[in-house]
Amino acid sequence: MIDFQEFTLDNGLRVLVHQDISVPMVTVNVLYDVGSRDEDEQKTGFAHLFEHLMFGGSVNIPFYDEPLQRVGGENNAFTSPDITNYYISLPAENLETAFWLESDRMLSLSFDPKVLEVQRKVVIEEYKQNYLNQPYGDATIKLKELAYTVHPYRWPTIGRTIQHIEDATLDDVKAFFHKFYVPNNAVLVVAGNVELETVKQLSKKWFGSIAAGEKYRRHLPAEPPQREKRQLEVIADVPVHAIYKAYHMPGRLHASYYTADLLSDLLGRSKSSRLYTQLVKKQELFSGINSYITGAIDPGLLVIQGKLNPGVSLEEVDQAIDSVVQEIQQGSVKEEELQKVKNQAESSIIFAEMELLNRAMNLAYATILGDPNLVNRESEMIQAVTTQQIQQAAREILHDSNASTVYYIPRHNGKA
Amino acid sequence: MIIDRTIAPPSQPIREVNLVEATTKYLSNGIPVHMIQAGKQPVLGIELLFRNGGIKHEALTGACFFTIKMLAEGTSSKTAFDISEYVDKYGAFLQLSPGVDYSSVDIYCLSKYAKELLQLLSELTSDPTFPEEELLKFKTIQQQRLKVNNEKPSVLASKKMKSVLFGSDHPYGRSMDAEDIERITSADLLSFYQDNLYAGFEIIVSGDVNEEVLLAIDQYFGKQPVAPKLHIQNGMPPFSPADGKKHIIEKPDSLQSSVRIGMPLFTKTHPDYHQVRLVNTILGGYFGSRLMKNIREERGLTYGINSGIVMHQEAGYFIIGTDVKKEFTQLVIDEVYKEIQQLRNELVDEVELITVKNYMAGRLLSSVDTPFALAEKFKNIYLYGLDYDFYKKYLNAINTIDADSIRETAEKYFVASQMKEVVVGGYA
Repeated sequence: MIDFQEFTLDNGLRVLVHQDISVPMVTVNVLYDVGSRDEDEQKTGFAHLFEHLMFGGSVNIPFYDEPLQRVGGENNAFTSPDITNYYISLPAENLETAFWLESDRMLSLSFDPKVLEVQRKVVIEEYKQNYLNQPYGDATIKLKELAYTVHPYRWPTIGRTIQHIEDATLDDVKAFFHKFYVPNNAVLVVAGNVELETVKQLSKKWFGSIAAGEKYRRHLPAEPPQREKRQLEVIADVPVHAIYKAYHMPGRLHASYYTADLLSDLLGRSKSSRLYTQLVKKQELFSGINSYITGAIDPGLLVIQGKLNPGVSLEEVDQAIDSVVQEIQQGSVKEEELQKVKNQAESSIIFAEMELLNRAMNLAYATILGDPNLVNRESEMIQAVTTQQIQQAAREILHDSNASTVYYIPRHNGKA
Repeated sequence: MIIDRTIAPPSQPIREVNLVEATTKYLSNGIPVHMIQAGKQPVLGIELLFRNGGIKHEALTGACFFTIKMLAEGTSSKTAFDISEYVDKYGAFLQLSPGVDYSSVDIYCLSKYAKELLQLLSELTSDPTFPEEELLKFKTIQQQRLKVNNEKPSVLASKKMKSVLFGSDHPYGRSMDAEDIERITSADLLSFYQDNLYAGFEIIVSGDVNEEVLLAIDQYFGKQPVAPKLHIQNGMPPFSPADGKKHIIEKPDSLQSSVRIGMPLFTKTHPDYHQVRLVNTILGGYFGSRLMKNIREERGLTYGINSGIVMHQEAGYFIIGTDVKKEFTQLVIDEVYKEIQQLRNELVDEVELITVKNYMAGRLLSSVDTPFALAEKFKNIYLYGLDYDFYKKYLNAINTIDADSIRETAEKYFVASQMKEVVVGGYA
């Protein structure tokens, strides 16, 4: 149970307070309701590049990090297809420093051209380090490109190509800031050793005078239902064969979201899962296999991915995955097995809530989903899933014409 | 209300850090149980700590790794599947961690299932069977994993640096290769188990530690036979660092170079440890470090560069790591040495000094906020022959060190001529 209180400033900034006096710290989390799904398809990777620029100094404060470190704080941020999230952790008595820093960069950035030039290079190196210079590093990029035809989830948050990052201009930066980085498009969560009244007073003082922006209305193209299976073969400098399969599934707020989530757990969350038991342990086709969902707000993907053992063919393992799936479609998941993955999901929630930061981030995320109290209803929604629903979801989601499959084949296909 | 946004709000330094300390009691058979009662969530971390079960204690490369990992692959009454299903059924997490100096087996669970998981933990560690057919499967998995890891530049670079600093046969320097994996047998595991794991562990329990949990621990671990007194085996062969300064693994098609620069250091018990840690932080230990500012924030040559100190029980080392744009590999290495030289020659200014001090104190404060983190804090002193004074001294060293002693520390310990370089990728 995460308890919280909330209020909204006149400029539309939503503020939530979660008190935990057992810790000496506070977490200040600012979530902007913008992700890579909101990008222009000719300017992908921009939400993430912009996140880097948020650390390059604001209108009244030349350096963001240093004043925070000077009061014992630390910060970071991440960008996803759906959101951009910034967080600070600092000693409770120095809370106001976080308000000062976060409000100034919401008020205005410095828009220093040098910052753009340097961060552009940094992001290109990040792109290489994480996606291009790693075996299978671009696998999920290729998988999403295949699975989505019109929805912006088809490009990765880091950007579709390095070219887009190279082409970004300062005008793009300013336009993006004025469109998305406004108080009425953000959620502020303050968690930890703090009083509601303090947060009210500090919020008014530091954020109250920031002007509201025009409300951003999201009109994203809906991904049409997939009608036939898609397949891509990638020949790459990888040491072993690998397979990636993606199936379209409902979005975050759909009634059967948690059913699909548990279905992916049953398939491939841990070592007692169906895929691992059947295909790694019994049939020895894979050296590892797992399944997960992308967890997106708009309709997302259920992914199955695995690396093959020597001497095993991709066609063979693809069929073997289908057989495991078919058993579930025929209703082989009984109460006890479902209860197992529910227990895993439930304890994961409890373990995650040990961290103050997770509580703060979850509250902010639930708020943009429409109701902060969703954080406290997750367990209930997981427990409500039935074996019949699992069977139905397996039939609706895990069929061939809903599947996109990427095969990775080693370029030097010697001894496999 | 008009506010001056150019002025930082008032702030306070961190004067003390209160951390919950472990208390130790002994089971009827003498096994020590270290308890950390903390946190609000109904969760428990239970760790069996094998102080003679590290890689440095193995006679055959891979024996420690495979024995620890195979503890969950079969007992007299449970198959590998039974074990994983049992863990998952209770929503628990089993962690099998082989390590260079010691190894551990951890269970994280909801405290209401403590009994069930203690029973499992006891079975895994008192009655493993190391089944032949599971070992064969596990070896295949490890061979495949090794192939993939050996394609990752950062993995290759870190492995290479270890072997350059300590020697490719030394326990702190070696890595398992395909032949090591091929060679290992069930009999090797059984013998490592009997000699190094059986009847030779301590227990650390953290989180919602109540009377019932303690009774259950005694029930499952207090009656089994133990060695009269655990004799901790230390001592290791001399280091055999590689000759030469520059070590390269060529990757002509690579877009970046993964670079490591390292040198051996003393251990955590050394009186200058805290000071060296602080110099390291200034150089490359946080986001605002000199290396980050120079290589990332000024030049944009990398996504990240950092330096760290790795402390084993019997030796330590200092290491800088980064992945950089390939054609700038040598430039980055040169800049690293320039930054080190500057720390040795010039005094740190007041602003930077205060920033680093408060940053480090803040990290200490935030690193003790979960029971599992507190258990780590305990291990970090206990296994190195230190006590909780270590953290007081750390905070005190941070708060009192001045620019002169920082420069002296840098001059004494950060010696470029003693540093070795590893490059995976190329210089152009």
